[in-house]
Amino acid sequence: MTTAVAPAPAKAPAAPLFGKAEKKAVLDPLWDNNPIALQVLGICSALAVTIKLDQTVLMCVGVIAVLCASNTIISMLRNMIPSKIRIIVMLVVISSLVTLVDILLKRFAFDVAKGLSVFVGLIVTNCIVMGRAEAFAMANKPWPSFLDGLGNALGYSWILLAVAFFRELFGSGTLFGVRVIPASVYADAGGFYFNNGLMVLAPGAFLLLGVIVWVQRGISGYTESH
Amino acid sequence: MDRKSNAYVVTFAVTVCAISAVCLSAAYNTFAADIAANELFDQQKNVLIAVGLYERTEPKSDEELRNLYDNFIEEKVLQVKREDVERPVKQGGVEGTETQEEVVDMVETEYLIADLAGLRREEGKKPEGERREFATVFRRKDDAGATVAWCIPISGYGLWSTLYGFLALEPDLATVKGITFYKHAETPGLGGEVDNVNWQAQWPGKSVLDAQGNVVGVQLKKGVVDSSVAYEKSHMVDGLSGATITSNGVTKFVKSDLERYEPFFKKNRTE
Repeated sequence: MTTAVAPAPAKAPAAPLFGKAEKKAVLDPLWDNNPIALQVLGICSALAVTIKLDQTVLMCVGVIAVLCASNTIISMLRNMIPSKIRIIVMLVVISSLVTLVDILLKRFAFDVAKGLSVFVGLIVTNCIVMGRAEAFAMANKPWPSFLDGLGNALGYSWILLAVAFFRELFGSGTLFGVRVIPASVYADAGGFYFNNGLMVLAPGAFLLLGVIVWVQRGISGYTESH
Repeated sequence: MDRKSNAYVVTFAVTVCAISAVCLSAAYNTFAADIAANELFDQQKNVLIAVGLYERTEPKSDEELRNLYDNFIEEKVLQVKREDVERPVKQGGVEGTETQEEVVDMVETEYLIADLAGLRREEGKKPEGERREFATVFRRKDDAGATVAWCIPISGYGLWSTLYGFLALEPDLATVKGITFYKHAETPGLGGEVDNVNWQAQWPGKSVLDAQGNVVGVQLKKGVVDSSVAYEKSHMVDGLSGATITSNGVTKFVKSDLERYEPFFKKNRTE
């Protein structure tokens, strides 16, 4: 478990619903302080569930729901949580939410949820969720905490979707299960094309993620501080 | 109360746990029936896949699949014969779901669900496990009602979990038509590869009976099947890389389940 590098800025008591600070809380993690590209948190699931876009979308929905709710709830409890047991209390909150998400997915999206297998449950151990709870929600009011959760979950989601886009396109020749690369160009049908087997395996995701982190940092100008 | 005192810490912890437990049980109970319905439908889909009526990637609506299942699959519940007790048939179906089918035959083989892979078995000790009293068999029929395929549920231990699936046989009740797994918790990428359609595609055409008519099942060979060896060609498929225990488990429970149904098969083979 790693705590996030971003220090939590203190909020003015009577902040407007969508002031400058609130916008920053949502937009900052999308690019300048992206949890995956800059903090390199939560990449376990980024490697595991990005073979198919439909699974990835569901995973992102799950993470968005859990992160927003956990940040909000923990922020509401922040003055009551005894500091001695705060990590375990966070875990109880987070794992309850994840279990809830798991139940809902099994009810409303059974097939895709089945494809995600253990990885829905593993949202519990996603460092982003824990990191934001400890670094932000414990020190801020519920509304900014909610926005911070939303921003970080969206920052996580777009990177996952980008990885999944390339993995499904080159690994299976489909997008959302719809064939994009025509079947006639495949070697089986007398063409020249093969799916890239590396893309459906975890190392393919690792390479892609590396490239995305590189490009993102190249553009955003982030350098590691020592 | 002082927030640093132990009493406060304990009270807070208990309260948080109680609230989350209540919320989760409420959520689970609200949706349990729907989730069970989803699971049953998923099993029916897997029966359709095993008997070759449906391909996983085929775009078909739930309605179409339900119609396929209702029109072309017939469920039969078999009562496992036991010398000691006589029991009325109340339920059967996949994992004990209610069905109206009548009892059509007895299966004599005593069946133990637990420990089929022999993992937790001490040398020379009889395995302990729950005995099943009912067995389901699925018959795929064509429009005229003639048998196109048979399908039985298979299950047993792999490495981490009990695997559940279906094995479909041709009408000769000796040749594999297809295999699917619908529930397991094996390692993704290793034992979890039982879900790999390319691996499952090796099963059709394999023979579960040897030349003398004994049940040999289909074995998962460690490594790749050498198709120049006649026995391997007809009775073996490739083992799963990095998943020896899952592979051994599948070999054992497929054979054991086939043996369990053999009395019923034998009768239907000669008819």
